[in-house]
Amino acid sequence: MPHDLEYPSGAAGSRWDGLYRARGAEVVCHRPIVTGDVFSKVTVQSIGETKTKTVIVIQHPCAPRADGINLHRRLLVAELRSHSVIPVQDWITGHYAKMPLPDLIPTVTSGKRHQAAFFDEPYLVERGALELDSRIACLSLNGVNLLLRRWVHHNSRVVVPTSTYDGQTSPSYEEADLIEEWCEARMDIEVRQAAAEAVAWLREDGGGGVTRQQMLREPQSRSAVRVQMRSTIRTLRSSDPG
Amino acid sequence: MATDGRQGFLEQATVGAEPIESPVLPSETKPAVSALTEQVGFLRSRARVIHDDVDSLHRERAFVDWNNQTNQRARASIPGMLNELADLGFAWRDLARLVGVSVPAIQKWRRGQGATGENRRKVASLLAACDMISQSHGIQEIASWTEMPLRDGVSVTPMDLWAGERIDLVFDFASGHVDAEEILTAFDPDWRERYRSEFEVFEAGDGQLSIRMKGQ
Repeated sequence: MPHDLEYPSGAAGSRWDGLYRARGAEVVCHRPIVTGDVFSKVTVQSIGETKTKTVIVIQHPCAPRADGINLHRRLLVAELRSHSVIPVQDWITGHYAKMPLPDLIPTVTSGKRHQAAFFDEPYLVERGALELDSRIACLSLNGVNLLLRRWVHHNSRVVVPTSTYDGQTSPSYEEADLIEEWCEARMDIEVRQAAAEAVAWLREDGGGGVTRQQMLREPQSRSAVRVQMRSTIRTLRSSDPG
Repeated sequence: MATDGRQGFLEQATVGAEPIESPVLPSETKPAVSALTEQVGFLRSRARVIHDDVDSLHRERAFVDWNNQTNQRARASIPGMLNELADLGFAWRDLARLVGVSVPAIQKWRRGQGATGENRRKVASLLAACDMISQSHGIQEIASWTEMPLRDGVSVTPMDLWAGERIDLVFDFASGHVDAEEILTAFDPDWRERYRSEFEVFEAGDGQLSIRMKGQ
């Protein structure tokens, strides 16, 4: 119910799958870094020392980039550690300082398979420490909403329904999806260059004096932006001399 | 209230599969207005049963047509079907959700890697449903329609109905024959409470979306 913390929906056998967009070998390097991305072997800054940790990005989806392309110099992350599976009913009533990440590493059968992010173990990381080839998982949109709900509750004791978070996070998530699609289609150029190209395209007028980036805020306009983008990609491909 | 065996008659007659009993004629001691009310009540019950039967028939026919169109659509290749859905404006993550697989699975199929027959049929069935909803019910911009809340203030969309395996409700909503609240109740009896929020999204002074309590 709206004033309880929520848990992932779906059938018991596949419930945890809905938390993730990609895990392990499914993760692609041309997706922009967003909230809920998990990185291994990251050098984090602690008091008077540096440590190597597996971490999850907990910076808000709007916040990681100042200019839309380049990450801020430092990002906020939380440490991940192995953790037994937390039953769904316990997501509501406890473990408030954690984001459970069951089946994060589905290819292993040891205790490492199930993890949790510990909100009371936050760190700052230099943007260069988040190497794309050390990204081991990306959360789904629903996973990001659940993460934010628990993280905000941990910090403020305020419970905001995930359906409300969705209205605020989905434009950024949609943008990341489109940049990923653009970069995948532009494999002939560097990822960074392709991402910049995609962002520039999103900032253009999509019709009626509204940029495509602004159009993504309205769920009813998103399909039009996707159609425009796929058409543009086809045109770029057909005009490519290679 | 009648006590001569007619008690409960109306309740019985509203059950779709039950035979409708004819009304018992009023006795001479009963006033005529009571007989007329009884007759109209009988007709009302009968109309309700017919309405329910026609609803069921309509749903059955829609499913037969959907099945036939799915068979036609399934002749195309999976990448071809996915590209057609993409050109309608669907997000890959939404297609993955509607088909019940991961986004990487959809990405593999787009690149030509094989899918099971069951998954090929699921993709074809989605395309067939889009055809039917657009053609039979005049829905324009089908992808955008699937992202539209069924009712103001409730985030449930036709896509949620589909992902929740209530395709019957998607067709009902598209047809306009069933009220949105009725559909929401069939989908989730607790919808009023579950999707209630004291918060709203708004554009803050820096142009970014933010969240605040409603009414501020």
